[in-house]
Amino acid sequence: MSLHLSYRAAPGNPWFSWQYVRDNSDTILAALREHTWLTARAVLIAALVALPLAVAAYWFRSLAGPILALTGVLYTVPSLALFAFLAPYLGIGAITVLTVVALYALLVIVRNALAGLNQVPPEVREAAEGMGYGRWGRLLRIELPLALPGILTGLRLATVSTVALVTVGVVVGRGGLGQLIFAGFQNNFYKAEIMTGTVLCVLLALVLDLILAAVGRMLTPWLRRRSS
Amino acid sequence: MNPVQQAIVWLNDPLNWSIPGGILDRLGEHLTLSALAVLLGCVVAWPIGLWLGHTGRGGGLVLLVSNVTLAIPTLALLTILPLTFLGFGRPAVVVALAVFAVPPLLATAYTGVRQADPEAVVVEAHAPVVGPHAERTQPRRIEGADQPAARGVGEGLPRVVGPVPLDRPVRGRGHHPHPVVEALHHRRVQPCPPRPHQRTPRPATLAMPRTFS
Repeated sequence: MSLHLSYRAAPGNPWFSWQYVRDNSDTILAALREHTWLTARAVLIAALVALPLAVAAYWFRSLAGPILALTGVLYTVPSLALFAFLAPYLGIGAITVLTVVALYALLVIVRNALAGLNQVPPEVREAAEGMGYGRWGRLLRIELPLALPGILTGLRLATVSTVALVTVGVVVGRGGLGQLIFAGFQNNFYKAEIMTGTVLCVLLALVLDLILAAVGRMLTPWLRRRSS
Repeated sequence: MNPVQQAIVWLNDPLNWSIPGGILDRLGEHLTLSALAVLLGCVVAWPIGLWLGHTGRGGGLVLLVSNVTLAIPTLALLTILPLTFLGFGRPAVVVALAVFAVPPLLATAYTGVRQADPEAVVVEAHAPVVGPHAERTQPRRIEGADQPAARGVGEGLPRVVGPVPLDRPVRGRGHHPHPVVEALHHRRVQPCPPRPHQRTPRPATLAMPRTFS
């Protein structure tokens, strides 16, 4: 009697298995979708918080130190500790993951946006003032567009590190691809599952990075013209 | 009692500090792991960074390495490495953490040497006299690079110290969990009850699988 045991059928390399990917495509796609969705929302939230902070630090020099210090301290808190600390208040679910991940993305976006704003040449600023631009008009029409490369660099870095950090959300049950990685570890070290999650994470980060780079090229046509 | 008060009470209990696997033990372990990881990172990143900066090639490579390592989840490295030849225990953790220390170390060593270039012109001019390529190690360049390199250590260390608590899945059975993980297990503070309309996700427990041998 020969009973075909598919899991015994000597897999060539235990780390990579198309068999696994094909059999579990639903789970993998769901995890990938959740991961992308979490990342997108977290980066959006972080950007919405970070940009006003960067502008505040740009307008009021005395605020720059405290804002950078605060976001810097948040950045050094271990992610696991932040999850453990916030989970009792925010519950177990997506909100906790979003909060923690967005807090980490803050520093990168604030720092790069501030650097971008500070790089606006003083002549340009004075010229805008001479043309009668007020503080807000100058910010929206002159300074923010000129700071776009810095802001986009911040967004790209934040996106890539957010993709990696979302996996830790597994401790509150919403880790996206982290769910795969950890489940693989618990399922008797199922290497194919771990590797699939990891590779998809890195690929997702690369794809999002490329998308943001393309968006940046579209938004700053003057830079392209200068270089060509 | 709010969590801050609880923390103060917990910290005030001397037993929590001195007990085997208490704060002092964990602190020493944390520092050792971090130091080893940064040391390993330096050993790997500095020679490569100095060399690439010296030859002036590979700027794109440095950028690529730092971008890719940024995208690899800590969790993934800490679950993959123990399953390789490194085995469970300290080496896997140190290597995983060193991966995160490498990018800033590499980048600062590279830029440090590049920035020291103008002063090194004299050295370059001497080169044909002094000797072959490998011999003119360009002490000035390395001198010029030491400040950025120190900055690299400063940037690399926090990146390493943070994720250490995540090493829980990797440590052997005899190890006590990191206090943070222990706190997750105790669940003294009850999580909010799930809202009725939501699907309740099963939170993963950071416990060792039973099959571990």
